[in-house]
Formats: sequence, C-alpha cells, structure tokens
Amino acid sequence: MLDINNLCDFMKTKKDKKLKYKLMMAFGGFFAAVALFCSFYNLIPNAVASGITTFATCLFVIGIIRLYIKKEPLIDEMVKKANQTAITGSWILTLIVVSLLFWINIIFKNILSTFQILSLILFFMLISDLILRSYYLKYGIKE
Amino acid sequence: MKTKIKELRARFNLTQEDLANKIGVRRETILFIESGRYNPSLKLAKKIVNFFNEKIDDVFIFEKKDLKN
Repeated sequence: MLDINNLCDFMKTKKDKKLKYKLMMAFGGFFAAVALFCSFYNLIPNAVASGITTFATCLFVIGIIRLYIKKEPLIDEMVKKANQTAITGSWILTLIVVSLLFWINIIFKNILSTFQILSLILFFMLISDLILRSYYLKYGIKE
Repeated sequence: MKTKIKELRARFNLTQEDLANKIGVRRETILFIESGRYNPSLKLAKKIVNFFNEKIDDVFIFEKKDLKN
C-alpha cells in the first residue's frame, strides 16, 4: 500500500539528499556524454545536442556544488517563508517587466520577437527570485 | 516584537546552535528571531516556550506599535 506520508518524506534526510545529488551528477554526466557522442557522429541535430548538453552540464554542476561546495541548509519555516516571499516579489517585478515590454513593443512596433520576450521574462524572473531569496535569508523577513 | 530568548539561553547556558538543534531549525532562524528580524509562526513560538517551560507572553513581548495594522 502506498503511504503518502513516507512518499512526502522521500529524499528529505541528509543521506537521501547526498544520493539525489550523486544521481544528478551521474545523469548529467551521462546525458552530456551521450549528447556529445551523438552530435560528433551526426546522429541528432546539433541544436538538440546543444540543448541536451547544456541541461546535462547544469545538472552535473548543480550536483557538484550541492554535494561538495555549498551544502544545502536545513529547510525550516523561515527558509520556506523566504522562498514564498521571494517568489511573490519576483512575480510582481515580472509583471512590471511584462507591462514594460508590452508598451515597448507597442511604441516601437514589434521590436521584440516572442522568443526574446519569453527569454527576457524567464531570465528576469529567475534572477529576481534568486536575489530576493538571498536577501531575505541574509537580512530576515521584517513584517 | 521583543523576545527574551537570549536571556533564557544564557540562563540555560545554551548557544544559538544548541537551541536550534533542539527546536529543529537553522541557527540563523534563532538569530533572526532574537534580533526581531523574523516573526516565528505560532507553532515555532510554542516549541520555543515549551522548551524553556515558559509562557508565550513572557518570552515574546508585543508592544502597542507591533499590534497596529
């Protein structure tokens, strides 16, 4: 019988997390190697190989950083609250950026393509979330 | 909001890390609560006061300005 509580606790202990990061590194390394191999022998298009290699390398690097360099802190209620507050702030800032991009495109008559707008939004949201999260974890959440 | 956690820690001869380990939070969380830069949830506040065997009003002191909207 599937126990939902056990399922939720999966990979929360330190040992499980180490295994998770080791798996990330292994999968990242494996997929990067496979993508490079396929690209070398022209088995898949270069654009696909490049995407897979980038994703796999990111997995590999995150695994190394989490496992050896910056060990993940214990997640408590303050970390959760910092994450929630950061993502809320990030959404609001992204909304402002979206409205700015909308008016830029209206005024300059479609100067930006859909791909550029989506990339800008994605980049801005990720960066603002990271910055806000580190700010709240460093200086606290004043209410 | 002011707290008496620092005094209680000193009375019990505990470091921030000791208290954090007993309560199950990060050391930084205790530091931020002590310095008034983070308001703990009722659950965490209860855990802290239970640990010191005190009342919640004696450990977490609210001033009038804290209760204003």
